[in-house]
Amino acid sequence: MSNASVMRIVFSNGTYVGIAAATSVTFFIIFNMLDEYLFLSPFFAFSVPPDTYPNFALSIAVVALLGIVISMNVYSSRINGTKLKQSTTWLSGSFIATASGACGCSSLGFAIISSLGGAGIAATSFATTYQIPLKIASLAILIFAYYSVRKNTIRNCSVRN
Amino acid sequence: MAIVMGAIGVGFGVYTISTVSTNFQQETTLPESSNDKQTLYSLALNGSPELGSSDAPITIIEFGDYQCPNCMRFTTQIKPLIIENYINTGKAKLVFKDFTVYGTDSVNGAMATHCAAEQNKYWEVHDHLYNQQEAINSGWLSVDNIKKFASDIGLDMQQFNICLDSKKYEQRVIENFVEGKSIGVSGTPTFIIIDKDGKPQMVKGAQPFSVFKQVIDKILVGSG
Repeated sequence: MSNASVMRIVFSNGTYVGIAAATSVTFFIIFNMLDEYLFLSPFFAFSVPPDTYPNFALSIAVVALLGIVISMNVYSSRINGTKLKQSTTWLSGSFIATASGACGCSSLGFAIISSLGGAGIAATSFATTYQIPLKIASLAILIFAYYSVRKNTIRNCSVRN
Repeated sequence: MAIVMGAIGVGFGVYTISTVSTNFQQETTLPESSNDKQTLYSLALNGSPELGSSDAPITIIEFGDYQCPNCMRFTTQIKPLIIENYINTGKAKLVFKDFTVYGTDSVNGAMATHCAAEQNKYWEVHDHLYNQQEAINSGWLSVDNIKKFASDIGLDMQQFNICLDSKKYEQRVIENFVEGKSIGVSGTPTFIIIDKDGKPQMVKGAQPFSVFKQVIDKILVGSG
């Protein structure tokens, strides 16, 4: 069964489209606030500096894939029940992608440094320095999660047919 | 492993949301009474170098760290527009306050700028450090490297070295950090834009120039 066929099966139901959209939008907001592209105060502002286009493009890919993977996981769980291990792989990917935005100079990073001291400085420095490799790693984990849930979905569909 | 990572992910998300909401609360706790406003104003200005006319009706106080990538982005991309539109025209002045979040190397950088100020080269060293910024705590702000930067700028190296080696301004850098925390700064860059009556407005992050323009123009219109 092709990727397109699996996607068609899952997303033929509006509920799963809604779950995917809600997930992607939520993570889009979180990532862009952490990366300081999106500001809500004192005015709403959204701006992506040209030197950060690669990071922004990776964020878009991660949030899109997160939406798809989470929605497919919900579908798979509802159809036949899914093992927790399979359905939480996406959480690892989302955690790494979120952590990559934790610049020590942001409010979140500063809170981490204030709480953890030297370890916080090391962690946020690492996240800032390796922001793009971390996003690529999270993308790889999410692709793995996608193929895991796709395999599971195909198995469920085959059994039902 | 996946379960542990998942749990951490959920925790991180909750932490993110709670931090963001705390930040919004902090933005509304800037001083409101006139005494507090005066305290804020004098606290922020005490001896810090100013860029622009001291008579300018608006004061922009920037809290920054020389290793912060977003501060570098502000300095190289947004600050030139603020200088062109508001500082060169006498409408605003800029004050920089050290808010060193990344440890020893950040403090080295901040101390170097104050040592340079003794030779009236504060802003030259300030801008040079941001232009030379590399990965955080990679050694680019070591004492030896800073001395090279100072030499490139043409400072009197004997005077500069004595100042930097003796850590003459270390206490001042620490005080700047403490002052920033006391008025609600929790990240860099953070800006406090103060009108001529001392009313402050906080802007967090390297926001686009259009945001600074809106805030400053609104104050200018309000003050007639």
